[in-house]
Amino acid sequence: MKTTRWWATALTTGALALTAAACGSSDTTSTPSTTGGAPATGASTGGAPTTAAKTFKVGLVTDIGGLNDKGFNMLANKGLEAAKADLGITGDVKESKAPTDYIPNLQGFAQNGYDMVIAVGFLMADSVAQVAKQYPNVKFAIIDSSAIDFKTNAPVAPNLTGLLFKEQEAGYLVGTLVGAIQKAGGMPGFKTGGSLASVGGIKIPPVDRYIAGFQAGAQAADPGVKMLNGYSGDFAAQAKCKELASSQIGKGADVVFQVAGGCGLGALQAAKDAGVWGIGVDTDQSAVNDHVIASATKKVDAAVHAAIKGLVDGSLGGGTDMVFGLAEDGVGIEGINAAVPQAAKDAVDAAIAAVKAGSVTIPSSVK
Amino acid sequence: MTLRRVGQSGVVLGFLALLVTIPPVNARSLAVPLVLAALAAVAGGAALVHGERALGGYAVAAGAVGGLLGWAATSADRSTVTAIVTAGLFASMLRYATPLLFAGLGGLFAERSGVTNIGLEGMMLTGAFFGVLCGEKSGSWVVGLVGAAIAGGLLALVHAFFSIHLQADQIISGTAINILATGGTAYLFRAIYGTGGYPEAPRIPEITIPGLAHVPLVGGVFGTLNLMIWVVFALLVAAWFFVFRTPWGLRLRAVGEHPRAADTVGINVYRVRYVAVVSSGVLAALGGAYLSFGLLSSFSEGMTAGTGFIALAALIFGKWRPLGLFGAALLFGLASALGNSLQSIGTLSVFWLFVVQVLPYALTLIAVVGLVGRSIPPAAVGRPYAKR
Repeated sequence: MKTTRWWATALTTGALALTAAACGSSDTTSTPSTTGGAPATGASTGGAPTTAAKTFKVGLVTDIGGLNDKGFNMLANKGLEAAKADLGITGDVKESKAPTDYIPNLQGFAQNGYDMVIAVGFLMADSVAQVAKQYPNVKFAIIDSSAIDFKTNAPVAPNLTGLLFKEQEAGYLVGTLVGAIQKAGGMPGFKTGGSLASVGGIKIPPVDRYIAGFQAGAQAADPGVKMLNGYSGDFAAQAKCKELASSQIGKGADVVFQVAGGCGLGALQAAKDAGVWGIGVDTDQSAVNDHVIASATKKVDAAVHAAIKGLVDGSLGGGTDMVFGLAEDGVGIEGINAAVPQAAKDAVDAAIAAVKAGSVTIPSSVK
Repeated sequence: MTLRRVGQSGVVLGFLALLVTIPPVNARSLAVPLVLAALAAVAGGAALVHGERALGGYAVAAGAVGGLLGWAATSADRSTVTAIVTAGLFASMLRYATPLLFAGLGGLFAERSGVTNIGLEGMMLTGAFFGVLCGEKSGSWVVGLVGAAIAGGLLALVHAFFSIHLQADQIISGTAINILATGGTAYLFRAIYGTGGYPEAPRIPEITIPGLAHVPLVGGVFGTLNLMIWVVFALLVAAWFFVFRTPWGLRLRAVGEHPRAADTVGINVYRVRYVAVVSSGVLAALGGAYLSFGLLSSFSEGMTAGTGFIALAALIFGKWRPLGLFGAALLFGLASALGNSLQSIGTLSVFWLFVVQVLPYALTLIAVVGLVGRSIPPAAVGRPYAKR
């Protein structure tokens, strides 16, 4: 029946078209200069620095959160901008609007003579592995995913570098902070017997590393404190994170740690609306509202800059990982609210020293 | 008792099988839900064999689902059930359902007039953005709502012009609207507030009903609700009355079912369709505004995240009727809220986490493939009308 099933077509077409069309990825800076005969097929540059005067071209592909996610993708772009300023490279960004954009965006840079392509985010792992094999002369880097295949223990591709963070260390610090406050009898917004909650986006390793560290830190500071944990299933829909956080607050949570990028802004809103506290993620989110007690930060910008520096000075090989932890100043805690008691801040300082000294073991997966 | 009544009581009994096992009744014996479920199935079966096939089917299904969930609730320990089924769960359900209802009502008007509106998603996003922009600049949520409505209406006017006057393919036009809205709002947001900006708009107020707030359960659900939730309840009733009880509603439906016939009796087909499509944009935009500065306090890129499409599915699920839409939106809302509630009481295994998160989308698929009875759309929907 032509008429009775129109909506099946309509919804499918609509959804597909939204996905496909949104991949009209926007170049935020100048388009690559196609001088003379534009390379129609393979990569024109080998990536081997021959002269000191060579200007490297770096392409950055964001995940679906986009450049304006107040976190992860925004920081990656910040690292690229910093490299443009002090390393004399040129760089462009493509924003993915849907997972179907990953491969075309990565290929787009690789085809057009870029020396290095950086994929921002764990969800792009499979795509970047595939594209890296297609373009062996281009360097690839991926944030949050390893360049080593965990099954075979061999490099995924010889030209792929993994940029990894010890998110669990940042999670441990914010966990210590709120655990110490809870243990000491709280502050406005905390109640006796209240629990500490986390709102994850999608259950993927970098998200779980934050959460595992958060739980370990809180329980080290306040043994027996009740922890709640949930996943919104999304990194963009603020409403979903707000509802999940509200549900946790309804079950007695005094603190909500958002680990869900743009979606998690809704969790911070829920904390403010209920008069409890939120914890920001990836970047200092104390500007979002006045109920952000601190943020667990992950210096994606520093990692991107370090990788590009490796490209420029020729030290960046491939098939290996670069790992950024507290000792490398790759993760940390920022924007601690002025209302936090000094004792809790001291507990955090002690935890920082202990983690740097290697005297605590922090789990990296959520049970 | 008529056959119809038998079927209807079967549906009610099926729901009761679940309801008695959760707060405030909290029946702990397995026999109670099972007896009710069996009665529902018998009533449904009787209706089924004697000709009330759709209603009988619903009653049997309600009995089966009610019995199963009732069994699950009685076998779980009492504190678990009390922790899952709270006033907060139903309040959350209403908050999830509200944007779906606004957009769904918008879809109802457009499609009853014979114009498919796949652009609801884009119109919501536009409303979400312009609401925050106007609200933030003026300092008033009322101005924000007006701004959202105007922006949504204008965007819908574009869709109306393409699909009515230019007789373009309505799916293509709607899709273009969605792309325009996704890119346009992101561009304007960054142009006005910069990357990293987080403008706070004054929020649409929450309405607290003084006496109600202390009534157990009911008070927790309806005691304090956002103004927009009450507005959408009123709009649902108004839409039902308008579409099915007024001459204008009859004209709307005539245009959507058989525009040639409507034209013959002197109804201006184009005008009816223009008004319907523009209203659909206004309603969808109000749904977006509820999201961005009713539920939340700011806009973020792509924040509607497919709500418009789920609203369209709820409309189909509800068979293009306000009451059906209401039921479908509540069901989608409950599925989402239940997922959160289940996660908040304990650790779900990865498998159950997946099941919980996929539930609203699975319901959408069920709606689209038409498993829940046959959904018959307005006969002329999606087909442009050429004047002679």
